[in-house]
Amino acid sequence: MIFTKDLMAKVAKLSRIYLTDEELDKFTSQMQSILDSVKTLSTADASIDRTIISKYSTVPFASLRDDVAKESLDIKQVQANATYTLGRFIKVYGTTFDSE
Amino acid sequence: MSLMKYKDEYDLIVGLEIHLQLTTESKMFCSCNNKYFQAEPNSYTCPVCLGLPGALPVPNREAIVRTIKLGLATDSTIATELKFDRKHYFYPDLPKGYQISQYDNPICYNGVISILNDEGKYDLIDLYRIHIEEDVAKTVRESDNDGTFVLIDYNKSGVPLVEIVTKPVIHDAKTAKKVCMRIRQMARYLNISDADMEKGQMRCEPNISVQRKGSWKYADGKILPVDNAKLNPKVEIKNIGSISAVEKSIEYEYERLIEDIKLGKQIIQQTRGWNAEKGVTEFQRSKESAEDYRYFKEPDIPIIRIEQVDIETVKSSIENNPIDAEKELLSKGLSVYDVTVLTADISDYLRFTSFYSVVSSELGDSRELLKLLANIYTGPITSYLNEYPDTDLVDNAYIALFVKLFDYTMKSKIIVSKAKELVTGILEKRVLLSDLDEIVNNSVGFDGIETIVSTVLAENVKAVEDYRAGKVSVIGFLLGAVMRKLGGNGDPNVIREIILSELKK
Repeated sequence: MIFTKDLMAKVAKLSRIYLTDEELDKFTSQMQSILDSVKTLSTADASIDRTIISKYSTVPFASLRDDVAKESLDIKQVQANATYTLGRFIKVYGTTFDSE
Repeated sequence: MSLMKYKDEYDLIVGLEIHLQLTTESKMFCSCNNKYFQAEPNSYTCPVCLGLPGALPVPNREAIVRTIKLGLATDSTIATELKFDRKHYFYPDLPKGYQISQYDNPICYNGVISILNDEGKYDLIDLYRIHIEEDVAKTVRESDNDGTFVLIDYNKSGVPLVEIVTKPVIHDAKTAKKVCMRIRQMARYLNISDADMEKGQMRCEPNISVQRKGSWKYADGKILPVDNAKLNPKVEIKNIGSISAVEKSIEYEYERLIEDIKLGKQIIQQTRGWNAEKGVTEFQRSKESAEDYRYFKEPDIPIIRIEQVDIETVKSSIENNPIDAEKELLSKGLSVYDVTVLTADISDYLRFTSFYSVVSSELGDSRELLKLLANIYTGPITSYLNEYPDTDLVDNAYIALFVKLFDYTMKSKIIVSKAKELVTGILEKRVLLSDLDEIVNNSVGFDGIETIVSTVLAENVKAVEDYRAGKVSVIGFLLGAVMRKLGGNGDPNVIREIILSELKK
């Protein structure tokens, strides 16, 4: 796959990151080299017995967490890493987008 | 300007995406309290629902049980392996940068929404899927001297959500509304969600397109072009705050799209928001495609095995289902109207069945009694309950009076219209047991009405002859004459039937 500058610009837009023209060039070539590495990896023999995966990588339904509410963090802990707060809210400056 | 001409040229095609918040005790992937409504902002949060690095999600079994219940109630196939995926997008309400959802292996698929029609049969709306995911945080946009900002409350982040997706098989706004009503009703019967749209517990998002007649066909759950025709892209509508707005927004968007086509405007795939105040949809953004979300399997949650025994256990725990309720009442001879009214709301349905059970334990189970009680329940009792919703119909203060009243009514000693009046009197505690006996002694039952009808027919020989000569409108005249003799105290429908019966003799 050829990773173009336009594609890099689209990924940046989806990630809500503004990139300069120089950064677009820089990251386009880096993304191309990541994809080339993945292509190399994909040539390796990765055939695995599916039944082994099924047996060891799944969990039974009955073992899932019980529906019991427990104590949450206090507001100081919740806001500890927030740059801005307002009352009990976390405050984020900048242009935002609609939720999904 | 009339769009009718264009409506004849274009078909409306609608698919629905409906989200339900599950009313579990704890959130979907952490043990934070799920009852966040009116809680203080950011009081029910932890490293998992705040998306802090290294925090691991642990699925809530009850949320999955509730989703399986919905799947079973919609005749869906339940997946035997439950896989979660990451859906990536960047918004302040989603601190991880991805939502844990399900992509290619939903927990339920190939189900149907069954809607009772006026003929007492079921119209079927095919479902693509029902899947589980997590809700996002609540954000409020504001601004101050430093610029625009959002205030974030993470209490809603991680609340269990099910998403129900129909196939694009809906072709009118009214049916779309009925599908939403049915899902809300199911959620409440199954006790999986309160499904209150005003509180955001249920969100309906129609996907709408208009296509020129003959340019499209439906196959394998998809809208496909006929003869390489160019199909119009779809529009998704969000911010719909009520069931009635589902219908209104679709009707509005249908007209808007047709008008744009007529004006030669390019139709683009987009998300629009419903503005209830203005009654219009407004552009929000161009829609991202599935590949833009870069889905991949959630590596922090192993695949969950769901055995047949698990599904059977869930099935046996379902206590109420609106379709079973409808079918049971229909099989006992109630009209579609009565069944629809009695089963619309689970609390009404349970109250009615409990009421019938207590009354029939005294008077015997019969179709006639069920029809009588349905008639009275959907009339004066419902009116009274609308005003006094906490009334206990099977309270000892009422039940002996109701049993006696219905016994008299079944024995034709009290006509139905009089019984309806007396029900209100009983509920208002104006009528005593002794009053009922006195009323019966002074009122005219069926036998009495038949006598009065015979008298009226004898006094109006010309009218009887006119009727027999084909002038059916004289029934109204005869009915009026009987009603006058009864002092207006009779059920016109019953009297009409008696007059017709006497005229045929």
